[in-house]
Amino acid sequence: MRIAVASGKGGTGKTTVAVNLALSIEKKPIYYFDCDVEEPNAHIFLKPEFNNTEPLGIMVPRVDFTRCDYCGMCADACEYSAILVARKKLMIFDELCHGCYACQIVCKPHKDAITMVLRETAKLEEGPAKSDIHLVHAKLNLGEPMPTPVIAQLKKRIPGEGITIIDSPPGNSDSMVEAVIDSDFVILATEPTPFGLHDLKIAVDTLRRMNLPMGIVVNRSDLGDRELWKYSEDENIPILLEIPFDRKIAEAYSKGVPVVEALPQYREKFVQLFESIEEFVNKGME
Amino acid sequence: MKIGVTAAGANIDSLVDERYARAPYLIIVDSDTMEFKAVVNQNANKTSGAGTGASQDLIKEGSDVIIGINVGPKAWDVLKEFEVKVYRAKKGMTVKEAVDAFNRGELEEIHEPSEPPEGHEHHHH
Repeated sequence: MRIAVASGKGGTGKTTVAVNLALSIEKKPIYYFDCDVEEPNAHIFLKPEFNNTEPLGIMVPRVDFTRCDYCGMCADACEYSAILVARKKLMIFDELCHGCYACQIVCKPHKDAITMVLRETAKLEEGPAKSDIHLVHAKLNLGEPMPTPVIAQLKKRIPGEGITIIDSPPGNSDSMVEAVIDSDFVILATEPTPFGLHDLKIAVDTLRRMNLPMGIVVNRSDLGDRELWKYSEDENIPILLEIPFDRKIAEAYSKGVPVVEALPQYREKFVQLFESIEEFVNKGME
Repeated sequence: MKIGVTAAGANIDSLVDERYARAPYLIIVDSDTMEFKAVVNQNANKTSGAGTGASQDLIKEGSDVIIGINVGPKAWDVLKEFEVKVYRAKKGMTVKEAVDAFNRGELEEIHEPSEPPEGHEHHHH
């Protein structure tokens, strides 16, 4: 089972929800995929011992000039003008390449002159963490602008068995879509403020287009206004858990201590959160 | 000689566009006869790769020389690799005026891109 935790707005407690949910699930094996590759931070709370590191990145074209006839089909196929052909010359701009393979696909039946090589843009790290959770994350190298292909590569490592929690990047762009796609359920972490609701609505719209079932977790639920509850009712999206503002939670967070460790009364709430999602997913599969 | 110009409109009396890769039209002018061909710049709305794409299209259309106002760093790399010389039109010139000025030897040749690439700032001495 794959449960993704996303949030339209950043800073609404997405990682807090994902980490505490993972720590409250008794079933094993359990995997935590931190797909927020621009700033992964779940490891601060789950304290893994990394025992494997691998380069991730974008597959970019390299040309065998003994085969190339400068026909230019690869350049015509490239949506990003990352490969150029004119006047018996060919140029490749690695940093423009999105790794879509279109150049190689069109060249293959013609001259088969293109092979794809990895341009490293991120590093994967993984290892055992607290509570028998296996944590996998990746971090983009400095200056690299494209998280989405890295998330796609990271997600290929998700095993077929057990339970996987996916910590999505914030926002509603292609990187979030890549992270949550193929999930059995998506938790939307939000806060009851006008900004929180505004971005939540965009996230809901995105997830509905993907036909993904979803529920809401409200952080700092006693601050802001009540518009979120009205929206939840109007749109028939369940609020699965409300976490009121508590200075003790903020203090624990600032020290890298998960809520369920600092305030054990929350463990039962996260157990219930998991059980309600599990029940929903199993019902849907029947 | 064929001269590629990035233009705000589809004919020879259109203004040279201040933008290079995102100009709406590419106009290729024969500097001897002043006959021209205008093509829609398919790169104008690309999220990335507009500069390399526009340069490639101008080269594919046979441009020996390019006239623009500002040329970005990636577009510049392409033009340099393909050994295409770049000249700067004055703001407010039409395509025809720019080509006439080029023919009279009045346009300044550009020797570096308009904005240095990120992280590779040029230091002027």
